[in-house]
Amino acid sequence: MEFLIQAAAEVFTAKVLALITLGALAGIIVGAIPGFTITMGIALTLPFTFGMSPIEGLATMLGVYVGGYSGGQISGILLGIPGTPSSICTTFDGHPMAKKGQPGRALALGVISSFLGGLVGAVVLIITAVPIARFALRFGPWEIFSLIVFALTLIASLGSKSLTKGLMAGAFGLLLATFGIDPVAGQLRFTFGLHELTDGFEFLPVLIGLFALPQMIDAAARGRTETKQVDSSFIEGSIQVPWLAGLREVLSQWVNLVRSGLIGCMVGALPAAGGVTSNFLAYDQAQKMSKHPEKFGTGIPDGIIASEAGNNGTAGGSLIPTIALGIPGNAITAVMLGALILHGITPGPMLLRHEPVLVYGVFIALIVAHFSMLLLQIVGLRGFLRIAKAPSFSLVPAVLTLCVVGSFALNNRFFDVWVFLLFGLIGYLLSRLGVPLAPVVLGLILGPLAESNLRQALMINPNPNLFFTRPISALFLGISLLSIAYSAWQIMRQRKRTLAETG
Amino acid sequence: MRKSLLMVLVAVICLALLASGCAPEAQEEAKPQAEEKAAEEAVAKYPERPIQLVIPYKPGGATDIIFRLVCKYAEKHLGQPIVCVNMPGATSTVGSRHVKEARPDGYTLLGSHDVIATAFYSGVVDYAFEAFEPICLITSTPNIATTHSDYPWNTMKELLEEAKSKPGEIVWSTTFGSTDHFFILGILEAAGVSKDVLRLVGYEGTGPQLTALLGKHTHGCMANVASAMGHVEAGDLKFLGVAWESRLPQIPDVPTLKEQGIDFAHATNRGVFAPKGTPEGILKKIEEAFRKAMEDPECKAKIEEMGTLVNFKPREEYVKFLDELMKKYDKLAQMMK
Repeated sequence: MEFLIQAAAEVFTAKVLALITLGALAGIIVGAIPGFTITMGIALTLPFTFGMSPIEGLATMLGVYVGGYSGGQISGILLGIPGTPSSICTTFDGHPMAKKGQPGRALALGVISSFLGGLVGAVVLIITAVPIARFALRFGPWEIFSLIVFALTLIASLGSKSLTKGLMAGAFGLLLATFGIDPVAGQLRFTFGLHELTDGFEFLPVLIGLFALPQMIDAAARGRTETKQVDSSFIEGSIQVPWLAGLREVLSQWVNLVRSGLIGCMVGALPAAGGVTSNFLAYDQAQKMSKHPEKFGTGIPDGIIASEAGNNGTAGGSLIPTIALGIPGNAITAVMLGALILHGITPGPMLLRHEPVLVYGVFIALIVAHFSMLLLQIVGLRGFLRIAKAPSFSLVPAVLTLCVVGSFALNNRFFDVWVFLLFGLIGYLLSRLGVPLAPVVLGLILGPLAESNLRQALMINPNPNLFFTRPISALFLGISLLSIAYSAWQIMRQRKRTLAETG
Repeated sequence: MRKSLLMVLVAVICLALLASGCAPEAQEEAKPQAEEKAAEEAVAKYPERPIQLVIPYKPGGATDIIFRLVCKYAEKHLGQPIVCVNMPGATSTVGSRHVKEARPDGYTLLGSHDVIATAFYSGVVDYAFEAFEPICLITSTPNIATTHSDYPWNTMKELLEEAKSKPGEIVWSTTFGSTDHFFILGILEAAGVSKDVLRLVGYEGTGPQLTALLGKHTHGCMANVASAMGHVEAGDLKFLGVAWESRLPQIPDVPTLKEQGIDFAHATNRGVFAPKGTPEGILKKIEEAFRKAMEDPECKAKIEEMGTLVNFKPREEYVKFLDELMKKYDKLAQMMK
């Protein structure tokens, strides 16, 4: 308790509060720009923290982190292009809702869910960090592989319109994941003698290529006349952001909110998973538990709430192993650990005992960062809404420029811009053919994880039965079977219904 | 509709071309004599604009932190900022290739370590240190064989004894082709043990290896003071032996491998490199700035807090040092075959 008061005294100073807010603002901006990642924002913050005290530095980074997760939805909802990989699922319902003329409602729902979902994650972090981190260590390659198998079954529900096309897209993503240096043995694969391909396809240019370029081609192809109609529906009656109505709507779905926040938090706590996986899992669970799963993807609040609560829950979750064990939960917390080491603080299980004030300070700063984010979004959203009104002829070139710059800035090499363009064309063709794009992304993200964990498991012990005899692993494989069965049953039911309707 | 579609595509392509015009191109011009003077002037005026230092790893790792820190001190003596840029991937060769192919004008540098040799010997790339102008060595981080406290071994020797009696049962994690892969092979060779007694499992990087060790999915891995000290203090992990000539100040109770009869020293040696052909005068200026940075007591203290040794070697010594290093790795590479 005494530490808590000391920590509060350190955080609630004008300087630290200003730093958190500044961080959150920077986070929202990098999050909102397609092609710029939160990791990039945090890495840019790192040198500034050299001259700060540890708590000031960490508080600034937490601001960027929380702001970033909530910023990704802005372009996701308004343009249909996820600003960060962890807001892919927000576009599924957020963009259709915006197109229906309710961009303000979609954004309000997203921001409030981000805020509350993030708080769920923060509470779990504060109460149970140590036991959860210890439990997460029991996840060896067997358990992680089975979890990934479960996540891959989501492909079936993501491509629900046509299972075959969804599976094709997923397989295409998995194939892309095999390019470049092999994660376990270090051998080169499918590089075709191009040294740029040594590390395979960078994930981000592929993502924005697939999502942004087809959207922009469509926007341009709609032409001036059609755009006007869409524009007017955006302007009229929706420049207001219905905050109170949004809050009521989110709270009426509190089960979905808490479940998604918890899923985000738990996945964040696992080694190697992260915001993208939690985003998909939370969305999928919301859909499977829903009474009206067929409405997902048409622009209903449930999907936005699940996705945004899920990814902001990950912020607290990924801090669990970081604080409790000194193991970074993702690239972002890795940079935070680096900042600690630089200040001569050894991260690890002893951190809570050696530096209790700092740890409590981080907890308080995480919560404060959520309030800063909410405040900034309330002030700034009306400005962002103007994006929805922007005519295509100014929007399209602006977004494309940002995509190109973002692809380049990621690794500072031009090859990634070609990757962006290549996958933009592939994405356009695929969307024209009615092939869903999300499974491609899912395959590309989960492929390397599945591969390295499967191979590590078999290298440690060549006995494949361990996947079924280790309890947590068996549990995930069991849920995977249920997930597949559920999707099959849903497809059958849908088919019968359409048969009954037509026949 | 067709028209606007075409326009977008044209816009994209124009953008791409524009940006590619800004990308650094390979130098091709043969210099007439008049330009030689200009080159001399460039050396005298250097640095006129910010210098880019490429870090071939993700932000947050030891290499990233050390170079970002040292550059903050070195740039004071150059009068121009040193901008650290992360270009991670492919056993650090994405970044090293970028610098190798950059204009040799002293404005693009590389901050890297032994991985340049290991990436060559494991076949990821076909170049090593000779493709660069080494400027100076700045730090050495001695590596330490590490295991979980619940396992019975207290030294590397004990672990290897048990491994010999039941080959293939002890699981040791490495990143294949990287420094830690050569580390364990070096220990096995120095101890006179066949490389098949340990079961080597590939992990991507140190972080995942420590996680696997903490969860007792593996039996040991290479670590250093910065990455593992917290876990050792908490009683979760223990050090088996330091691969260094002497014991380390932070962990005086941990014996060296040499004391255990395994004559093997191995550190991660970080230094600064420039593209081949960078003028000697410019190299000298950069060397001087880094020498002053490494003499700064504040900078020194921060590096030592991370469990890394300040080990400055100027260009001439560094070149010899790297020659020796290559010979060592060459010997180990023969073992991998």
